[in-house]
Amino acid sequence: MARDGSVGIPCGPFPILAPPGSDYHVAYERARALLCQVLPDPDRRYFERTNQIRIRAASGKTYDIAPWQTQILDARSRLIGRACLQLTVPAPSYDRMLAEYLLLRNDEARYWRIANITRFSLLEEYRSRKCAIWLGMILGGIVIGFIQWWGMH
Amino acid sequence: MKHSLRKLSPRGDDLIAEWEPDTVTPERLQEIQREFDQLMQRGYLAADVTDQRNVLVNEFDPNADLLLIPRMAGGAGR
Repeated sequence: MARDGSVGIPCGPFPILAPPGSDYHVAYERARALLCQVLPDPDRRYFERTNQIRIRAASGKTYDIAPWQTQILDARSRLIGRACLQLTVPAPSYDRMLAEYLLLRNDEARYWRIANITRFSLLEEYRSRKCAIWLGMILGGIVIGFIQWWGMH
Repeated sequence: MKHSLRKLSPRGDDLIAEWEPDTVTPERLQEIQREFDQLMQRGYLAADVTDQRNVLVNEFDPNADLLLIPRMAGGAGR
């Protein structure tokens, strides 16, 4: 049981795993409604379309806040890092997104002091893409091989 | 026009207090402010979300809709 007396309310980006009407679902929907109420109309429309919040901060960086992570883009929309920030109480992901949005809108420097930020380098990005390409080729080969085998039998 | 003081919580958000500036008593307002100050001392951040103003504030404003955000910390990262 959590310190505030709440019991068994998992908080994550996968509400589809919880039955409708459950505590989790109710909290999830409530948090989503609050987020939609607070966001200005253009940001709300973007959120409803993409399930993410995009905010351009005072420094010129753009933050794509998603239920599972936040990506940081530079002024030319290049990925420069990822941020991980959480509330110190269990809460639905949309609450965390709302907190990030308000903090970035008002005090970006504080956000950088609090969040755990992983910076990306081009070399790391190249390595991860190269790895993804190799993995894709291997999987593609397996699928093609399976289709050929299936066709022969 | 009603105003509210809410905080983010495991249930999405909790309504701490609701009042109408024209009819609320000074005693009730003081009570609400005390609750606000207590949570701020515990490290909560406060935001004025009236009409999507969305600015962080340090003091209680009886003419605003306030949202209290629990203390935040860096996550596990990748």
